[in-house]
Amino acid sequence: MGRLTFVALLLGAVFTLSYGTGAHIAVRYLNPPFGAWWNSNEFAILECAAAAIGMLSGIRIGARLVNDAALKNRAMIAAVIVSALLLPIVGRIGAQIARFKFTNGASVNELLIDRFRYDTGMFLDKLLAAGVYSIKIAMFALPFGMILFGLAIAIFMTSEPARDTAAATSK
Amino acid sequence: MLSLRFLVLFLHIVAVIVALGGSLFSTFVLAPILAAELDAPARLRVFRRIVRRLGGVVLTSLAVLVVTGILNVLFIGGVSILLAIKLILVVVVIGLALYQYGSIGVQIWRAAGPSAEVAELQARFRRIGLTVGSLVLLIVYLSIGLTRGSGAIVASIR
Repeated sequence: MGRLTFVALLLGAVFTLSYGTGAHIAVRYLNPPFGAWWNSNEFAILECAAAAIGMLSGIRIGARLVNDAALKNRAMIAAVIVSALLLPIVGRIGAQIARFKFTNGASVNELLIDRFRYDTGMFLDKLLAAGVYSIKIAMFALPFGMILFGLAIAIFMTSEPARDTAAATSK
Repeated sequence: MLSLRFLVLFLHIVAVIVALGGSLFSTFVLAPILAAELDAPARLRVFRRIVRRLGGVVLTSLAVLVVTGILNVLFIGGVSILLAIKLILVVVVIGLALYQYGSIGVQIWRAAGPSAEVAELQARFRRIGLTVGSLVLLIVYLSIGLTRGSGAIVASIR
């Protein structure tokens, strides 16, 4: 689980920085076909990595709230498998929601240009936008992860045999 | 009347009713009657069954709530501060429900028999249930603000 989260964080950071800084040009310089592939897929990978970070974080937060080790482990494995299957859908929905504006966005852009001049300001603005976009996708994927873990807990909890309870009630 | 948006909203409201109604019923109706009518061992046995079944119902309805809620955000086409606060509260509610059923509920369910420790767990289970219920009511209030308040961002459903 820790390794998966680390991989998602690493991919998220690399592709967010790459998209924000236009690093595909450097990759193209070293290996043109790979650079072209990188350029056409970096945004999709950024979205999926951000959604994966959000869902894995949700599952981890959920797991911290459950203290039965056996139940927690089973639920975590089930939730991670379902998360992996749902990742493209959650990534796409999260990306759509992340495109909604919370503010008009002009103030930060102007502030950066004022502070660092036009070229550097625009560069930093794109980098900031890519970072905020990733964070927004991850934030919207987090409840999905938590509730997938919750559903797994609910299924395993109700499917486990009732032991003494059933006997006592039938008496 | 029969649009996808209408169906999603309907499911969202039904999920709130089920989650909130189930919690309020068990806290204010079932628990006092069990305490009055049954002796401690029988009460614990019944309470265990309720915890398991209600946990399944509440956590499933919260899942429906999250999925339909996110779809509703897509239909609305914008995120206001009020909606962001609501989403944070939803995450808190899910966390509390997970703690209530996945931690305290499981401890009650696995307890060998009635004891002071189990009674304390049952009391804590009810307190968290009440907190979850109150937060869900607050979320419902914020939802009314989103659709009917001065800063409403939701257009009427056509």
